[in-house]
Amino acid sequence: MLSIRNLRARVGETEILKGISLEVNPGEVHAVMGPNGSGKSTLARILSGREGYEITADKLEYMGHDLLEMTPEERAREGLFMAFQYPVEIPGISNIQFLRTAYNSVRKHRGEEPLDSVDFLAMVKSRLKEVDIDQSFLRRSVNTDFSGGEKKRNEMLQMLVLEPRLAILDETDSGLDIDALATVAGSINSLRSEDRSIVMVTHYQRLLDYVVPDHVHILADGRIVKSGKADLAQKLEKKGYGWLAEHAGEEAEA
Amino acid sequence: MNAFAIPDFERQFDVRREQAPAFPDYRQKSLDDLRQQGLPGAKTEDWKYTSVREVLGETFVEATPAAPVAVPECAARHLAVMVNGYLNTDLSRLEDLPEGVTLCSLAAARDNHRDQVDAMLGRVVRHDRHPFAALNGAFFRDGLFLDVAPGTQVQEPLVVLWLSGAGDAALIQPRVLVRVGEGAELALMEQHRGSAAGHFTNQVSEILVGDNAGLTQVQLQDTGKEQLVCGTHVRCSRDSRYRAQTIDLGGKLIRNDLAISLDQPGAEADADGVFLAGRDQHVDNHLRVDHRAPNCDSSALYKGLLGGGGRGVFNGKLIVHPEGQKTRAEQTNHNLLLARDVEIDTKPELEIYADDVKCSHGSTSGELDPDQLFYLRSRGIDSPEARALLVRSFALEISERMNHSRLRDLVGEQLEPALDRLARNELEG
Ligand SMILES: Nc1ncnc2c1ncn2[C@@H]1O[C@H](COP(=O)(O)OP(=O)(O)OP(=O)(O)O)[C@@H](O)[C@H]1O
Ligand SMILES: [Mg+2]
Repeated sequence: MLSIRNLRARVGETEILKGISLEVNPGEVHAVMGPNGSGKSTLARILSGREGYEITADKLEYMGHDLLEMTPEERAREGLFMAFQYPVEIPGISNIQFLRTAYNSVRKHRGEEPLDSVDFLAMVKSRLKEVDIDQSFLRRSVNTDFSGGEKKRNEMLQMLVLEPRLAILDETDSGLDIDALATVAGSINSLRSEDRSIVMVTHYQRLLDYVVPDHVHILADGRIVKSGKADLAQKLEKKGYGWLAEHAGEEAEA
Repeated sequence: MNAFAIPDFERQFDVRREQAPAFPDYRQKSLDDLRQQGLPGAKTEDWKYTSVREVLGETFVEATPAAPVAVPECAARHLAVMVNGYLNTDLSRLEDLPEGVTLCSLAAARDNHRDQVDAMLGRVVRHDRHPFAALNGAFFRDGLFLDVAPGTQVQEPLVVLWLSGAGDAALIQPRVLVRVGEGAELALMEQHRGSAAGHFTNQVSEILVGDNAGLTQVQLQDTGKEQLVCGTHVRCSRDSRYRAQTIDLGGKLIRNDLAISLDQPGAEADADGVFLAGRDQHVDNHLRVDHRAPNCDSSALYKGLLGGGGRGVFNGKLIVHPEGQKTRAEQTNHNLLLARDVEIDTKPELEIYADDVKCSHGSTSGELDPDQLFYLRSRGIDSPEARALLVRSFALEISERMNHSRLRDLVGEQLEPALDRLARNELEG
């Protein structure tokens, strides 16, 4: 699904990612954790095609395609989805128009007919329930004046509508109350299947209680310093990142 | 045919005097005003960013009513077609206008509605700082007279199409008088459509909005190779509502002077605008709102979109006179710069001589937000479409402020395709 070998990224003189390698197979759920500023969002943004970084990698492939050859929209149409840590407000474009344009762009790419507004609305309505968003949000401008939690749920709505093959979720669980967390976790779990993969960036064990990952990676200072199973996240929760530094010399378990 | 170079106005005036034109006193006064202030040059403050050198260097022929024109399809129920500044009743559709509406050429009004014409002509327009208005006053030939009797409602928009014919570059100088009587309501859409010829139109409209009356006026301008200077002078009476939308879809040179005077308590005015300018296009909007009475509200929102090679100017003046206590007013201009080789000069100005007022003004200019573009693209929307969506959403905020739905649709039909062309950088003069 996703194959990264020795990915480096810099902005000007600052190197942010310093040689990341990661394999994500179909059906797997990976969690990426790590302190603030360690490069998690940078990794997510680069995977979804954000410009502005100088990137080198021995390999950076999604479904066998070289990601660096693809525009952000091509990646999205091929099923790559990134939920933003800070979703962008776009005044003047309604949520429903945005969703439908995105959805039909993906359909067109697959050689399918666009869905008209009536059929599309029917489809979206059923998704709204799953993420517990009121229908009135469809008429509102994209993310504009949404609360933090509403923005996160709106990301989940987009994910459910676009049905990606690889979903990269950048702190979708941050800033959610307990009910919203359960809703978001429900969305993620509903996406889980043999041919889909999920990469969740998170700071908290609480999401991982709902969505149990197959692999956990710790990112620090632009490198993956430790990888393990779900229990790695629990250890981290108890002992904090300081514990990692003490074991910095040890081999990663992979 | 008479050749007319504008700087030669003194001699032209003498020639014309021989023909004993109508309204000699007003013409003489206009000439005096024009002589006193002179034609705009590089040093004229109000014309600092807009050069009329080309217009002043040209020799025009005098416009005639009998020019061949292509009339665009227009489904409007009430339609007045103006050819080279003259009303063409054959091309117009005026049968269904409600009783109480008088629409005729200015020449006909002079014969049939003399008192009303005398009460209005030259009484709303200001010549000082408007040299082209004075020029129009000295030389206008004909134009349009529109009167809506007290209490009359014209909900279905009246569309006035300003067309120009083929032929040599002509000087077109119509005068428009509009009165909306007490308690009456009018939805008016004027559309300027340029032909391929290099005409110059210098239009002046004088508008009175009566007590408790409402006028919604759209001016949609798409002038191609033609140059247009359009002065719209409005006086608003007690408790009246004036709503203007100026929609510029581009042109070689467009200059609007919209001057609104809130003369009596409770008057309200909104002046909104969208202006588009692409390669070799220059659009200049000068707005002035005078608050001369207490408890008047005004707001203005102008949005400029500049594509490669485009040039835009916005100047908004808000003046609260000593009588204008309890004024609430705002003026805002936002501009979207879609290429590097564009230029925008924007200046909102505020002059307040009353102490109990709430006024604000401001302007911004910027490029498309890269974060918004990336967000759209990350959902599969390709880059040209993402640009087009953002360009539309920027401009259509103005449409959303239009509460007359038919007018909104009529504007949308023309604005939306122009926005798409602009987003693709295909707007050219
Ligand atoms: N465009 C940029 N220019 C300069 N520095 C940048 C840029 N983008 C990111 N950085 C820096 O790179 C580092 C990693 O940032 P990133 O946002 O990836 O961290 P993060 O792991 O997601 O942190 P958080 O947990 O706070 O979300 C930070 O020090 C950040 O300031
Ligand atoms: Mg982050």
